[in-house]
Amino acid sequence: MLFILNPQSGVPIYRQILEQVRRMVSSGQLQPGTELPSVRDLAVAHAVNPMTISKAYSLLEAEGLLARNRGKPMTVVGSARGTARGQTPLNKRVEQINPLVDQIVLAARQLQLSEAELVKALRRKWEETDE
Amino acid sequence: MNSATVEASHLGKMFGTKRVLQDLSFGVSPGDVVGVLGKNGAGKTTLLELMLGFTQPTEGAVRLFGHESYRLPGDAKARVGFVPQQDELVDHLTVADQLRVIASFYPHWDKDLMSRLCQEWGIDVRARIKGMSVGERQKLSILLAFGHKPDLLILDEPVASLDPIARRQFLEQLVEISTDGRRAIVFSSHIVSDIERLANRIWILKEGRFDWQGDLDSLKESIVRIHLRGSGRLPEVLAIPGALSVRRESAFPTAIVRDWTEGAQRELERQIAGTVEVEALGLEEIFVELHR
Amino acid sequence: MKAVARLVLTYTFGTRVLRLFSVAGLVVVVVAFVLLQLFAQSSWLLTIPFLGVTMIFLGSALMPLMFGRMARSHLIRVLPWGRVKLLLSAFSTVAIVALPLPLLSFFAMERAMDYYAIHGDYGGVAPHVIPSAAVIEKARQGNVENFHVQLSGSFLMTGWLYLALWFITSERSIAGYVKGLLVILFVMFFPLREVSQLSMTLKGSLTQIGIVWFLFGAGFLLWPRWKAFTAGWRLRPQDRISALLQRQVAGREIDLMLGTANPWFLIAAQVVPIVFASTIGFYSAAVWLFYLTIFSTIAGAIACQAAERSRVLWLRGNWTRGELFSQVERSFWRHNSFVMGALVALMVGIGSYAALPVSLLAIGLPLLMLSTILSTYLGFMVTRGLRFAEGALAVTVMLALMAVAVIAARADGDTQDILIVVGIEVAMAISAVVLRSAARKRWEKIDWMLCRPDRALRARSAS
Repeated sequence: MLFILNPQSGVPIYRQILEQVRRMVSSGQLQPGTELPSVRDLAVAHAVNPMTISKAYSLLEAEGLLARNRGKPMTVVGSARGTARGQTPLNKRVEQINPLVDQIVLAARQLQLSEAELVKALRRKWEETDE
Repeated sequence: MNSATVEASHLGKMFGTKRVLQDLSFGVSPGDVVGVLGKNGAGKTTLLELMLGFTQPTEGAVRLFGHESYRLPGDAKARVGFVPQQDELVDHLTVADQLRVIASFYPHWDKDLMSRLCQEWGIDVRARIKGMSVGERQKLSILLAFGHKPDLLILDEPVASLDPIARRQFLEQLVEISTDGRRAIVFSSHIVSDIERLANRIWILKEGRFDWQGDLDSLKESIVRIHLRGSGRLPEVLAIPGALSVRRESAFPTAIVRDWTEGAQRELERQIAGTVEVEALGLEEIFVELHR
Repeated sequence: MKAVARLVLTYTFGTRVLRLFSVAGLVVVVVAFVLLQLFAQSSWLLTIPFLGVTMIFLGSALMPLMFGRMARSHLIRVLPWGRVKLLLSAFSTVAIVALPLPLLSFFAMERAMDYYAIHGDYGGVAPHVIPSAAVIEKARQGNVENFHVQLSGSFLMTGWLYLALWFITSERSIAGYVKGLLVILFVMFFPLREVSQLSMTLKGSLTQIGIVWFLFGAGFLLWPRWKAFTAGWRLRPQDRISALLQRQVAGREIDLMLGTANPWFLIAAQVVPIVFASTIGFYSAAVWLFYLTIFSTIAGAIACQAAERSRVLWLRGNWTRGELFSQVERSFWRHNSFVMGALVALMVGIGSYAALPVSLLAIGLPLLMLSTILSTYLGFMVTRGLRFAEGALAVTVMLALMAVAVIAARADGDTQDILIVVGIEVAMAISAVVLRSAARKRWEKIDWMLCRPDRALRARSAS
């Protein structure tokens, strides 16, 4: 089976799928162009509610990891930084990092860092991962 | 479908002077799978019976496909399927005869589905119901509710007597049914793991009211257990927002909290001068904790 | 309407045995019809259709059971127009079973009159001679009206008989048997009397049908509303009954478990119809003994369940199976002596009031007691469910008892008859002893998994 799902876990099923797809795409286990199982097949195979699967798929589509083709199952698009840019609008992508932005700003304020110091830390990391 | 499958507003039920349900408002739409959880005596069966129109509410109203459920017309009944807690099979008949009798009441009946499921679930159509075990009777009882492809399926503890294999088969069939997204399922069960697999919405009944009424995913994300690991002695009074219960017996106290936020986490970590670990809980844990 | 048709079909063909009865009954009725066309009528010829209809009736015995079961289920309220269709199916079944006899009787009369028109006499059926064609024509018209009367009467009676059958088959308890018996007695008193005394009128029976079925239908369809309405009250009657039971419990747990704790219910159920009958002046000795014998077989019916109910006692006491038998026996003797005492007192009372011959009482009382004892031990023997052997034995004994009762009733003063009856009573006493040891032997090897037929079936399918 493609995914390892644990319905009894405290982590909701859709989130388990999200994390596993993200991991598999970034590690290369899921190559671009790979077709994922249909919502129905996955639901029956794991005996879980199909709506939770389609919720995960929709979120992954919004993230740009998966693409929906009419009449065909969901396919892997490629790394989020690559071809997805043309497919997902900017504001949607910004939405994805908003929670993390909240966290970082809050932490910075609590540690009584200034805005300049925060931006400096961000820029440093950005430059490090630029390749 | 312009009218919701089920709609209720401020539903209440009293038996004589005993109050069983109070101020329940809910809606079920096509594609929903609702799991109803509650202690024995919390009112699950009464709620399902009110939805089906078996009994009349003392307050409020509940409507099925837009009709008042107490006066559900015949053609609306053909869109409803019900699996009762105690099977209501006629002992003297064979399985085939029982299927035919029930089938005769409905305009559409899927005979192929019935024979396929009988085969898959190991029910001998020529057997007499009198001689069947409790599990087989329950399987037949469930089967009878699928034949007319109802738009609303209501099940009251349908798997109480089934072994794990039979339960899995039943779940798989329910998943099949819910894949087209046009049917609604409401079922009550004590077997929390089944609800966890199948439901997208959860109603937790406690003493006649909804203790939780919403998505299963939101429930799991909302109610968590936090573990306090303080470096020194913990303050006597801990302000934990949204805490449902706190346990301080050991050196590492825990609390069950609702709608935990990052801000609350930072604040608490500052209070105890330590770290707070957040543990996500499975549905059974959540249910137990909500009832402490 | 296919639901109604399917239900009626299931009622008549639902189980192997019933299918046999229904088909056989139909065949007999058709054969009777053919025979009536071909042969001159005689009294034995006319009993054939009666037999056929009885078989059809028995063949649809599933109807009251299924009706009762489905009527009380939740499912029927979710099935589209479920209750209405169920009611219609019951009505249709009664109509179908009620139709053949009046129809055949109609044809028989027509044939008889045709035969007369040709041959100038009947094949031995009609009591009078009809002299002219004009009178025959009038008789034909009367025949049609007669058909309607008979049909309505048949419909009414069939309905009552189904009710009796329901009480007997669905509540397999003392209360059930007694209720069924009461209905049969009621039928014997009213509709049957009207039929035998030819006082039944079309209007009368249609009115009765109308009232009865209206009440039944209304009660049935409005039952859920009534239940909802009285839901608040229902909490209280429970307390009253449990309080009543509490008073009985002291030291009599065994009796409660076996169902023998309350002989008063049974006594009342037997006294009431007898007293009622005597107020109408129904004093025929034969009928008395007939009733009383039937009552004594109820004791056997109760004893039938002893084996199955004793399973709970087995777990609660430290008796061996043999000792358990003695306990059960003792409990039943306690119960039966109350009932028998009441019956004996009643019989003596009515006997002296109606000035029945002493010899009747002298042989009637032992007969009553012996038949009760015999049936009780017969009931004890049912440790492996009511299978063919036990059933056949039970039916034989009951028929024999009824026959003896009739002979005994006729035997006022006739020494030979009295001696026969005394002889039979002695034989009964001996068989009671034999049955007792047989029952005891069976109890010592009782296997509770096989006690009831459905449990035995499940045990064999080993799930």
